[in-house]
Amino acid sequence: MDVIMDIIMNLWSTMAFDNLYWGNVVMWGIAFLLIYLAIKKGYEPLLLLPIAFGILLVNLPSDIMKEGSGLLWILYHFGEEWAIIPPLIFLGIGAMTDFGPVIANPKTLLLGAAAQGGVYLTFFGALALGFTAAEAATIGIIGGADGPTTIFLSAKLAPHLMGVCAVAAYSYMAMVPIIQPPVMKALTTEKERKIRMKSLRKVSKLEKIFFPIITAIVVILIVPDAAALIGMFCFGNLMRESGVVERLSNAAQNELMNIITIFLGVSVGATMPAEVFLTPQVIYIFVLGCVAFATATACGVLLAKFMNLFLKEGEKINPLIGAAGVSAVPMAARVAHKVGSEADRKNYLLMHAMGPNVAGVIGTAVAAGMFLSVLK
Amino acid sequence: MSLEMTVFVSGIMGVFLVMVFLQIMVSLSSKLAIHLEKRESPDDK
Repeated sequence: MDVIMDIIMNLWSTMAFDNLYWGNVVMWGIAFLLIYLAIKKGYEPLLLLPIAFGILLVNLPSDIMKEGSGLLWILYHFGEEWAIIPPLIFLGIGAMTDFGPVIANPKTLLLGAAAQGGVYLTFFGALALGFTAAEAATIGIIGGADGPTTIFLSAKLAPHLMGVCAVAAYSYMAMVPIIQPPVMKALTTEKERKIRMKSLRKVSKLEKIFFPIITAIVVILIVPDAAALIGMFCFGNLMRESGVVERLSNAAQNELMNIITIFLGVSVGATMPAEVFLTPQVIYIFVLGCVAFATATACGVLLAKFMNLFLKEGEKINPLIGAAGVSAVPMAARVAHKVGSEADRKNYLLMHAMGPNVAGVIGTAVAAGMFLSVLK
Repeated sequence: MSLEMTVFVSGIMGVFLVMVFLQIMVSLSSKLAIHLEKRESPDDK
């Protein structure tokens, strides 16, 4: 009998049950919720699903996140801590992005800048709640609604907040259609929402080739700390627009993007063991992230209204497209179009909103670079 | 100036500075591209 008991006890000691505690089970619940949202509701499934599974894996007691040898630790260390994966994602995004609307209407670049106002205002909100400047910067950047930039900045400034901030950023990106419309409607009149904008001119191939080269030079000269993100972004876009390296462009958009998305998602999820995630700080981060996102939306709309004060009749901007200055591409542009078409069914704002939307990607990367230049 | 204010002021200024410069440079590069394409198109014919 003793022998059998010994065998059972030995067997039990090799299992993980002893190392399990209630926090892990709560985290399973969170992982299941994210899996549900990804599969059933379609909320950013490409990222939420791997993140959710990473959360589940790290909350099952094992050595998968063991420093130096755990599989997910290795992915996390070389991918995120070394900040390799976010720039590679930017390479793919660059290869997928058409900058035609920005080139046709460069004024919209300013709307991409205005939306970063939310990032900086939330920075102060986070400071007021007791976060350090580096942590506050990482939380503020959630307002840019740009997952890779959030991960890039947190890896450099506050690695312990990476998982939470990444989940918050991707969650709010998925919630663009819920968070933005009330802010947009509150800040605009029916008449403003009905403003019709002139059709965008056709942009030539050479203009599109010049754009990433000019952007890389201007941004990196002014904000060298944004070089990794903007450099890869512009290179990806040049591959796309040059038309001579279609294979590379396709690889950046598809195979490379898909592979790094898997590694990114699962290893970011793995940064959220219960002991890190189940703290009051996390609630603050989610609340601040929401505030950042709503404020960024408001700043974009308000700047568009301000610009209209100086624009001639017929050249005025529909302020709704200012809301697309947050980077969530193309969701924010679609929301601007939808809210606009509710006021005037025949008002087609989508292409106009794509301008500030892609400008917002550049703006958030620049904002991250500015944080790094002062705080690193 | 405190670190926090430095972050705020330099951040906002930096983002707008980049976008204003970028706007100017994109407008100029568009003009150059259109000019080059116009110059090239008669040769193509």
